[in-house]
Amino acid sequence: MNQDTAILVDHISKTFEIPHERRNTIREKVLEFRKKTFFEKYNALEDVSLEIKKGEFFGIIGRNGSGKSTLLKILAGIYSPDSGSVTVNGQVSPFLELGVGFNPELSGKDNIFLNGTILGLTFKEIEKKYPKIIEFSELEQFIHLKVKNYSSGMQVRLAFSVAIHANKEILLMDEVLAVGDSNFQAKCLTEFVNFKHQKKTIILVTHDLGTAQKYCDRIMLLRNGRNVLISNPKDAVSEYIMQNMSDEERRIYEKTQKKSVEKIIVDDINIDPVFIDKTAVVKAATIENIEFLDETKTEKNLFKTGDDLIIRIHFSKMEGVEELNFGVSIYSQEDYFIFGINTLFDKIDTRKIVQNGFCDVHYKHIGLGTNKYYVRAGIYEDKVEKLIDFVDQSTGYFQVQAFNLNTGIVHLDYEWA
Amino acid sequence: MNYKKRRHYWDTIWMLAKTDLKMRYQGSWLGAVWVFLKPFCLFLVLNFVFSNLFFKDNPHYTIRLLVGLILWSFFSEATTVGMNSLLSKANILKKIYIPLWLIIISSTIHSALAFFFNLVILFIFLFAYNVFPGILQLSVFLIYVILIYGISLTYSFFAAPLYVRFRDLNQIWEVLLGVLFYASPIIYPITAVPPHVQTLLYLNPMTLLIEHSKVVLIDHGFARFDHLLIFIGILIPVFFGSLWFLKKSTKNLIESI
Repeated sequence: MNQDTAILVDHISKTFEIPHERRNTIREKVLEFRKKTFFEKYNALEDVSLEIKKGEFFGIIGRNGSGKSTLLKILAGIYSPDSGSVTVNGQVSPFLELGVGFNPELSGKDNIFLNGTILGLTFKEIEKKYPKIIEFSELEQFIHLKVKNYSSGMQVRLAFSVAIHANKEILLMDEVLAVGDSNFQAKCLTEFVNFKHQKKTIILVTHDLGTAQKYCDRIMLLRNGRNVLISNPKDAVSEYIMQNMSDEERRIYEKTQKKSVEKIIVDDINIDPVFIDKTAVVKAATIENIEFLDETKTEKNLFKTGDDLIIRIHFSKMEGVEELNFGVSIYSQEDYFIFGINTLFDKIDTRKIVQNGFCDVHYKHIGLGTNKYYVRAGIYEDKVEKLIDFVDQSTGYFQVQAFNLNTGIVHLDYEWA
Repeated sequence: MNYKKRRHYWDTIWMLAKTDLKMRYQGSWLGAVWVFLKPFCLFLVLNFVFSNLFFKDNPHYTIRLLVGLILWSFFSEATTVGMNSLLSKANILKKIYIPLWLIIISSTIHSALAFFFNLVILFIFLFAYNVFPGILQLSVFLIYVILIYGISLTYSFFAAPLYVRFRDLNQIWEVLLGVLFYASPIIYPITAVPPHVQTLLYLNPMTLLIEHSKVVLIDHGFARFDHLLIFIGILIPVFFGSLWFLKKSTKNLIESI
């Protein structure tokens, strides 16, 4: 192995066999030996390879269940891979959880020694670092108190304090930042910068894409136990967001599919008069569905800031209806009213649209920030007050992603000077 | 293995053992006195029953019973705790890599300490009965003690990973311990059973160690060294076999905990 490689992972796979009904006792095994045990095979990792250089800050991202933690546990030596090999060059301190082995019945001091030992320090080293550990945790006056009497914030502070003083050449961290208040998180991040300056190898599993982008040199994206890509942070995070969104899109699609199936069923058993919406009979028009399209008229749910967006309202109308008015409003998922338009105020002649059976609104270069948005749409007669039909967020969401770290729900054209 | 790593291993064993100790007597009024009290109460009962009923003419029956009981409680506790150790430390094992043998050894430390406390009582009795052995006899006795710890660890190395997968093992071991207790010359002298049964009893490893300890401590004689050598000759390869077994079964063990 190359001298400046810290960790080399060579085509590892890991499968968990999850028995449907666990048989742990001999009686069960003997009495039910004829019954086949059904294992649910779960491929936590499939053929993952990577090489991490010394001094690198390496991020691992992916959805829940994508194998991030399993990979980390294999790197830490807790699990062994089914195939493939892992070579680690240097001492590892794994922080898969803060405060491993913490015993609530022991005092803070005892727990520093206990946790420190488990994290790989000798008594002598802990004694040497003890004043610093306490100072960092800011728990001087509570150190002889039992940990069970600590607040959860104090426990985390103590644990983190031990953890950063136990550091070795290679640090494995699993979501350590997910806990603690913003003060504490800021402290963690300062330590990360220190680690980086000390040229430590750090492997961080996280859901916080901002942190990942800010600190990592490279990021690996895992999906269903497979390595999707290893690249610079920007691309990996973008790819991850795109994946998440297309997952979301599929979910919405499946939901709407299901809905239309349900509708059919209701139509079939239309015996119960309660199901019949009496007002529907006299409605001049009904909004059937709302679609989000891109400029090529293909259905989409995710857009980048600056993309074109077309909102298409499908509706049905009664024979003989010649003229209708349409209103479309965009809301953010927090229910902020972003933007509303209607054909009446824009003085659009809708006679042609009415014959089409659908109505398109083409928004050019949407100036929306990263968020989820939904649409409320309505059909009116000649006046806005006279509502014929109306739909809101049940039609589904579309998402917008800004590919920079700007915040807020709108995107304004700007320039620094 | 470098010095620092070795140092860390010992520190880990000691730290885990210390925590176990603190936890065990946490909030108990008598605390560590229970270490004496438990085997001592059993001893009082057995002594009352057997020295009056069956072994009236046996010289030093009381002290013989005490030797047997103390050695036995060391063995039975160390094996039970050792077997349970991996499951009871699941919260640590699932989060960090620690060699399994460290966990197993650290959990048996308590039994060893308890044994040494009990030994103090035994020595007081030896004084009181005016049969205190010489230095040479005591050193031979120390070998027996080490061997008892050796078989306890050997059993634990085999049983701890097995117990993770077959949870009946603790029930089985409880029953077996009951059987072995009566198959060891604790409440009766080995001479009380016919010779062919004696041979059978020697299949129980504790028989030899308890019987020889009694000979050394009380009769101040030296039991047969050839038997001891055979015993050691068998135990050493089995001990390494158990270490090998533990190492072999480590793979995919943590997931089953």
